[in-house]
Amino acid sequence: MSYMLQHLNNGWQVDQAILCEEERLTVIRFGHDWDPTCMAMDETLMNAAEKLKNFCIIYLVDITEVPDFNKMYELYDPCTVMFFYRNKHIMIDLGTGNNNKINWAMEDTQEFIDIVETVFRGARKGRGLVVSPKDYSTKYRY
Amino acid sequence: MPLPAGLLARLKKRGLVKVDDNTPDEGEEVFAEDYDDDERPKPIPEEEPIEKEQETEFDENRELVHEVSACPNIMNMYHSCTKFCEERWGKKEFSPSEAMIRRRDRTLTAHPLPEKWREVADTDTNRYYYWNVHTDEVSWLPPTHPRAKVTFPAEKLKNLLEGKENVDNEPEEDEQPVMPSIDDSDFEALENQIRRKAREKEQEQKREKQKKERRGEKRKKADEDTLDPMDPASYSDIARGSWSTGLERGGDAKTGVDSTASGPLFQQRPYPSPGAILRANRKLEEQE
Repeated sequence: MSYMLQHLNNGWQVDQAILCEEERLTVIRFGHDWDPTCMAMDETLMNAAEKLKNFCIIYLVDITEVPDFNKMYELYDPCTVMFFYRNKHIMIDLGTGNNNKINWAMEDTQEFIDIVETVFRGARKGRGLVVSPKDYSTKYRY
Repeated sequence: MPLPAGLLARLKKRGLVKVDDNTPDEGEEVFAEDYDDDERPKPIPEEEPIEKEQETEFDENRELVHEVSACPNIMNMYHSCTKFCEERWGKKEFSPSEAMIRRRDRTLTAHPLPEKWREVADTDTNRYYYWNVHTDEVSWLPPTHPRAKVTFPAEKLKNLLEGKENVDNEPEEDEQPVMPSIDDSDFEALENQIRRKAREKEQEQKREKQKKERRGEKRKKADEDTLDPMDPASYSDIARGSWSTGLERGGDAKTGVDSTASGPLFQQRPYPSPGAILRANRKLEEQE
């Protein structure tokens, strides 16, 4: 489903995409289009994109094509989703221990929409860290 | 690689992306219009000569001219020329005689000018004199000439006579060499005074430098002897660091976060924005 969403092809485009968005969140998925995890995430993103178009804009970045941020953003997972608002990285307390990003594929579109809404509300108030509506720590329980 | 259409439109609006070359550039058009417009008065023609004067100071190929106002009172020691004099009488023209030019050419071929020395035309005497760009010394003959008398400009010496301290701050256009024929012992004394002052300054700087060095040595010695009990090196295996150990350095692989953070603090660290990362990457590349 990655062809439905906009790709950014170099670091400058990523920078400008975030800088240009004044009123909306910028959601960036770092990964590979061919990765099964990313495919699942892209499906969710695509379904949510239309509903969220007033709150956020979603871009896809290939981490092989754009390796500029791999080191700083610690992009080691197959799929990483990060949120930016007015050129500022917004953290989410997901309960996973990593507040910086969503590094798994979310299957539920509504869950993702809820997270984006929470981030958007928090970011508008100037928060750098928001608490996710759902705790994802149980995700890793056996 | 095409940009997404929406992003492209936004970037265009902000002027971050260049419009296609086929479409005319608006900024240039306006500029061209300005030139064609004959009816508009030319902006501030009075400023032009001032600019030209400054140019003569720096242009290597152009002849330097020491400009003096044509005021009849110029030699009157109780009169100092004001702006009014310049406007009323204008500037003197430099009109060298052929005989003088022939003589000058002959001396210059025999005694060529060293580096940093420039030839300046003097409108007052219609002769050329020579000026050292760096030390501000002047001479009527080329400094390599055996009979050349290298002196400081008359203006500078005059200022010193009057007790002005800011000799160095005087504008450069006021320099005029002392005529060798005058041969005033007064001026020579003044010159010596200037040179002595410069020498004293140099010596003082040297002394201060030595003092600083001595002080630095003392501190070093004290440091070498004792090991601070609070220094991690005194109670653990860590090697003893220098004062700069642990300071942030550009070349390190950094994520822009506190690398010593752990526990709950570890989760509180935001990432830098992509622009900051790109800039940091570029800086790293430049360093390499």
